[in-house]
Amino acid sequence: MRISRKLHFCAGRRYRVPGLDEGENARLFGPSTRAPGHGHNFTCEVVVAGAVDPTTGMVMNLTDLDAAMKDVIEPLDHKMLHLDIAHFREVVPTDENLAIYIWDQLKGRLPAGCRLARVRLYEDPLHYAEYAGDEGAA
Amino acid sequence: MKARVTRVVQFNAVHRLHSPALSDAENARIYGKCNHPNGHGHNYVVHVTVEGEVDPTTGMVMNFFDLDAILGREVIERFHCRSMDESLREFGGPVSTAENIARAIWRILDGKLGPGRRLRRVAIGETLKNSAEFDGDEISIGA
Repeated sequence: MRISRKLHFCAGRRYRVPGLDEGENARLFGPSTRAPGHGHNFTCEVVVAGAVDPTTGMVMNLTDLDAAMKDVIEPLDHKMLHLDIAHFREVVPTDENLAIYIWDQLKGRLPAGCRLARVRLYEDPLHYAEYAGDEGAA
Repeated sequence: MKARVTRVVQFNAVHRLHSPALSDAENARIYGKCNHPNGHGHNYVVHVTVEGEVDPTTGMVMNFFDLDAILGREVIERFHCRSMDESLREFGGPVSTAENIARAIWRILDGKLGPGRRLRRVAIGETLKNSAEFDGDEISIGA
């Protein structure tokens, strides 16, 4: 069985690879590399897989999932990701890299018997990146 | 017959709520996390409502292609992937609240919609939870 939970946050970001010159960054990222940046109302959707506990009828208590997600996501809220979050000073804060970051931060915070199945990171209602763990060369 | 049409466009921008008229402590108290020094950002959604006579031939108040061209030039190009605080500087640099953004976009669009039409409303959605609407009841942009 799978359950999912969404959390919203608002943040700014700028796409820029530090080793590349402005022309290369503009070619790669277009307006998204402009200073000081751009912003989104992000939504993070997390899917957790596990067996339904016969007593509680739950895969995982949503209050606990909510708390774990807030631990990871609230530090991103109302921040400039490429300036305020150490990880994204080195790594371009794309939707893809945000999904991977949230996955990595969240996977150790789930109770035994539950498995993180998917992290989907929406930058707006139409665009998202999805990560389901290292799927190798597949 | 008079009618109103509304077009919705979206842009992404950063901003920081900070009033130079207030102390740092007051800014932090009033604007909370929106006062964070490096700023943050949103998907801004702009609803523009135009009022006018329905043309008996086309059945339209205003062709959406024409309205889109104006909104692209005057709103998207001006604000998309930029700082709202810098973009609002030509309007006196008011704090970049949704209210002040709505008034600035009103001033940008007012009078540009063609003869027989008038701007009826500008609404700014900042998040799914908050928005501001401006009907042009006062034009001056406050600090």
